[in-house]
Amino acid sequence: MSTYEVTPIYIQSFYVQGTEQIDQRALAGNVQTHSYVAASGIPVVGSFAAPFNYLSGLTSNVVPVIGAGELRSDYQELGSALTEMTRVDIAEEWKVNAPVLEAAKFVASQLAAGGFPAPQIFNHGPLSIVFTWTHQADTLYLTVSADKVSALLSTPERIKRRHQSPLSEMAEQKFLLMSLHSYASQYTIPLNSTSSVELFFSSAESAT
Amino acid sequence: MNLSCFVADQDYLYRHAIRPTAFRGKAFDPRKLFYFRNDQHGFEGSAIWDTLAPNLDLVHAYGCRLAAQRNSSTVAKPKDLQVYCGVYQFRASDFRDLKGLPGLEEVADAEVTHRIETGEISHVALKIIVAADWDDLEGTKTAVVDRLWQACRGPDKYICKSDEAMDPHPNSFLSDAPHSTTLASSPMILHLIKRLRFVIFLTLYRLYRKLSAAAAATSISQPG
Repeated sequence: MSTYEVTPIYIQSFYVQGTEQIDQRALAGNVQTHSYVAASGIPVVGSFAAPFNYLSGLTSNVVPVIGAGELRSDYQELGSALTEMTRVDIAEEWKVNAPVLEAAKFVASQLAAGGFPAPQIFNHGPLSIVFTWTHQADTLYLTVSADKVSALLSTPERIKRRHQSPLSEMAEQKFLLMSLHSYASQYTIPLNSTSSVELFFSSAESAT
Repeated sequence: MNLSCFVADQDYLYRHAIRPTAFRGKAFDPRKLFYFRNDQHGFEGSAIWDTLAPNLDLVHAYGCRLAAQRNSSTVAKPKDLQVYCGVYQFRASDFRDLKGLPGLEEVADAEVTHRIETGEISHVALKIIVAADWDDLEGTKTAVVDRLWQACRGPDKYICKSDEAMDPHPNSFLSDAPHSTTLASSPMILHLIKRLRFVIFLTLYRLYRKLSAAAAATSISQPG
């Protein structure tokens, strides 16, 4: 497994400086690093972390540019909300464990890089953080624990799909990969528009 | 004393909404309404059983005591003070039916168990047991919380005496439950039976407590 260092690229600079720079740096830092996550655990805290191996199959223009400012703002709020979950004065039964927070930040960085709309979050307790998106009657949940990610797609009437995978394999999972590819390929559609969100849900459903 | 065998499928259970536990900032978050603690075979949460809290005054009184108890055990900032806001209702069968639900095949059992907790006789444990080889409890919790919320009715909002000065009261942020916005009630005859059972059980429980205290005092006064 490759274990060489990858320079952290911060989310904020990613969005401020635009697509070109991030793609070059991310791709340059991730050549032959498909096992980076498994080799080194959870990557850099609060940063645009290294293991975007799915990016290697994409070209530089697939990272959405339109709506980047909005996306940056949403993900900054998400970062604050994640950090809030570990406040020292939170009751122990609700305070998120450090490895879970790291895992959630990793997943958030993957989502941000894929151009996903920022999720809402909640937690059940110390052992996981749940990312959610709602579109019409569908709700998509990603439950992130220290070492795995679980996806659940549900409607008011029933559970439509579920899928679990080790965190280290997240970027290789069909469920997320196809969603990300489908979403990223529509980069000309403004983020958070109805059509983008519909595409996101339809690809999430068909990919499982 | 355990009356688990009397918890019928059609009985109603109540879950209290308390700020900030069930809130995200100022907004109520229904996915935080239920809290489940992991145990050896799965996880377990809490609710109130209508048979031993046969009217809403008793249900709300429990919520106020719960918030007051939590506030007395910690020194909290004003924004972190526990404020009881109201209850949501679901049937015992809504929880039990999680066993065998398509998409939740790992749930080996979903049981409602009567368990008196901190002197609260109407408390029940909501216990999920998962298959022995299942290793994704957190994912199961998400699915359970999602399904339980869909089964909920309410809310029935309430303001405790200690919170009457709050303006706005956080119960104004409670969301309508998906199943219905109004609570269901038992048929009159069943309601009367429940009230009778409640009075009998409460009397027996108080007698049991007195006898236990007397037995303990006797054993202390006669060491060895």
